[in-house]
Amino acid sequence: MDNGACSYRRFLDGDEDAFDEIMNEYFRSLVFFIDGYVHDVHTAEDIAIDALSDLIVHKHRYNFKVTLKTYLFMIGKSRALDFIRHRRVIDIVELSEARELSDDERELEEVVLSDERRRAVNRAVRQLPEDMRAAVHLIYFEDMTYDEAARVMKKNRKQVDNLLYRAKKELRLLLGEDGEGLL
Amino acid sequence: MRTIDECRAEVFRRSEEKIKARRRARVRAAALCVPLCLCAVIMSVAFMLPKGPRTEEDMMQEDGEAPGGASGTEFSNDLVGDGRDDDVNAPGGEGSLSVSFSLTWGTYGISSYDSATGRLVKATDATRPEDYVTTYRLTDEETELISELIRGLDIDRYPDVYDPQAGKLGSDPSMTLILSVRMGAKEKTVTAKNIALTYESEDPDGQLFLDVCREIVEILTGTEAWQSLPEYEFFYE
Repeated sequence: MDNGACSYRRFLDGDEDAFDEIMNEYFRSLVFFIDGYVHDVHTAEDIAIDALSDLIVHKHRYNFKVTLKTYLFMIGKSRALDFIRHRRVIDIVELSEARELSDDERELEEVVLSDERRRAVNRAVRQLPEDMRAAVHLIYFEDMTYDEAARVMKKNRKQVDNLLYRAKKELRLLLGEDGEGLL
Repeated sequence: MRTIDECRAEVFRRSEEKIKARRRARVRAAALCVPLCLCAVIMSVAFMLPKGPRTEEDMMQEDGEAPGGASGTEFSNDLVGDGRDDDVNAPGGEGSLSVSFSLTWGTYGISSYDSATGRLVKATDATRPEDYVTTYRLTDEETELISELIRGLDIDRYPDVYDPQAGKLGSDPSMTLILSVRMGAKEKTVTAKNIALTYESEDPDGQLFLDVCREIVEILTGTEAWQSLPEYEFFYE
């Protein structure tokens, strides 16, 4: 049973407290996911707020056929890519370079990833190409199924599987022998 | 970083703003539609008034065109009609569309709806396009709303190939809008390609055209039939 969908149903029936549950459950994770695309926590917050406001403005767009989390992450990803397109900034991140986290990103990481081990993996994941990073994030950090991750990324299950396989190979190189135990 | 409470307040604040903006857009479209409808009615009546004294020949012709006769009702040159819709209503009675329409929209025009057949297409570019097609008949309320929008547009004023943004705005990807309005044997189609996704125009006529198309799209994508179709397979980046 999808708790998010249950909360949203209650919200549609008039229980405004149910929306608080949705915010508490998904907001920080959504910001964390979007931040992987836009690399700015404040912008990621902004986009996540827009995605959640869509739940209120366009109440009939969510058809309950996917989990609420999947739906929110789909909207978040679309809006993040829209933002990037409008900003017209091209970020090229090479595997050998690591972009330092800002203080806000560090704070967000500590809120979302309470485990130091996961934080170490996250820092390596951020060096991966965008699609691989998104696939690892959704499967390992957000505990989505392959099908749910495929829906968010608008790919099929096989493509997600391939991305994860390649991502693991790259992470082994990035994390080294000591880090391999973290995977 | 903001607290969860601050973010929640911001979510509700933005939601209210978006809902108000949508209402304003609808009121604006209706405000434009009403005077245009009035003008269309006045012009149609003025056009149909007899130009001179009726001759005996005219009276004999009128007698021959009794209600139910083969020649039926005169059609106004105005494709949208002059309010005398009873004779040309499609089967379905009150609330039926006095004209039928079709609209193609979306990035590269992948989505479409035809009110005559009820065919609703979400995407033509999917791996299995047949999964993205369904049949949907508009409700009386939806029919009435769309009829009002189309009447207010006065589509005859627009050229067959139209750029509502006059080449001034653009986006990548862009979208296509093709609006066809049919009444009897008459049909008018306005095709607008390579339009920015923002539905904005600096020209009032262009903005009206975009507003009407957007309103129709919102009605169609808000239906259960649309919601039941699968999610898009591809995202145009």
